Amino acid sequence: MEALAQALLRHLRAHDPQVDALEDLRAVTTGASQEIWTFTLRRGAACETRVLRRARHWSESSEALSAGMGAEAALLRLAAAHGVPVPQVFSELAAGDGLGQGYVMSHVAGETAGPRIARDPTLRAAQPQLLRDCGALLARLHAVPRAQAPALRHGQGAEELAHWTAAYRANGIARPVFELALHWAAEHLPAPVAPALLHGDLRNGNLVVGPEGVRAVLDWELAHLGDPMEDLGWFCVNAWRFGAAGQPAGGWGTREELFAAYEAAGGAAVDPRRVFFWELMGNLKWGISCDSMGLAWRRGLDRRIERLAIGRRASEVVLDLLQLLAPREARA
Amino acid sequence: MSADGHNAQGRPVSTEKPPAQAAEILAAVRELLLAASDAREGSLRFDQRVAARLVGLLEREAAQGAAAVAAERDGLLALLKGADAAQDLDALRARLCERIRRGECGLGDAALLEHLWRSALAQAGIDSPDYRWHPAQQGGS
Repeated sequence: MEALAQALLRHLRAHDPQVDALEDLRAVTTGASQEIWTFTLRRGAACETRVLRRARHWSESSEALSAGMGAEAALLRLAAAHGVPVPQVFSELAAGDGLGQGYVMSHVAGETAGPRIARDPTLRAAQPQLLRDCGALLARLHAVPRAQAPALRHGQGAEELAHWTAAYRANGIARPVFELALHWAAEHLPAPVAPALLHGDLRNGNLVVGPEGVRAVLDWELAHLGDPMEDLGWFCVNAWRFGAAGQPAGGWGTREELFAAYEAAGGAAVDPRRVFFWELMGNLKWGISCDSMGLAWRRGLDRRIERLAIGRRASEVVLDLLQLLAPREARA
Repeated sequence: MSADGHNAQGRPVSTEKPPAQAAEILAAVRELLLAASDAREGSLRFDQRVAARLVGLLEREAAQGAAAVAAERDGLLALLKGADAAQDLDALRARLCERIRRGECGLGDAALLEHLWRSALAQAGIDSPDYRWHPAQQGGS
């Protein structure tokens, strides 16, 4: 960590000679494909918390989906210019920095954890506003002219289904309910639409929130060009309702409330059947990813115990997919 | 079986047990506990809670696992008429997957859905008993 701190300090000073020191560099526990570090920057009498985000890829499959650090930084700047709340990008890592690929951004204070947003009384009271904010920011993001977007992969129904079918088969784990979902998806592929700029992972868990609303949208790694309904469907995956199964939109409200906020902010007319396709695909992607993470532990790619534990969460997704495809009443 | 996991008919064979087999969980917990004795990082406190939950999972698996496996096997054998009863669970699951993939059974098949729901609820009862998949459920998230 000492080498990282020294290299980072050199980078920060190269961009801002008034930087005196870097303190309290610490790793944040997050996903497998990036490293995220927070640190305190000293400039004269002033102190600021900043965030370093660096690339780390744990599989070819995850690398294929990633926007790349340069594109992420560009997306943050673009999103800010179009009224989507995001951290501010201060500097991008250069090859000569010896830090790999990544960027330094502001630290946005607030709450990110879904269960805490559910429990804290002031945040629970803010949930309708959070939902409206999410609908509105998605509408603004999807309205960004494609010509302004960095080079990103294209993915609509057919491409996503092909990618995730291949990922499921590559895992080699037989899951009849995943097969049912893949079969259903193949038979209900939505027709391609004019591609929009998508966040690709917008959900309760990737947002910094406060009592007044959404403060920042994080984790732009999976941004791509595609069907805007995909972002709405992903938002409604049960796994990130954090127990509020009766509030489909992020655990904060109904799908209709999300759609209304989206349309009110200028979003395209929502097609609920297309959103259903993407919600089902979203659950399926998450379930396949759970298996993949468990396998990454088995193969020594990522020995963190959390990865192993996530492997057992595929059974949650099996229930979610059955409830979407063949719903039934819960017994007490 | 070919190198990429297909049998002679070109169909994919289940070559992997689902992640987090009991032996793997115990290995991970053991590695973690050894590391935790030197721990100064807060992330290890998080990992310790994950480890504790996994041990709880193993306790449930010890109590409920054999019955769940037997019920799922019986269900699969009933659905896969003519299947070799000596095959292990993953092979039977793979056979059902193949039938679904080929469209030989699907959402219109009440017996299939009943089997899938029963198996899914039993497995989630071991892996994630507090998971809420229906609005009417009470309990933790």
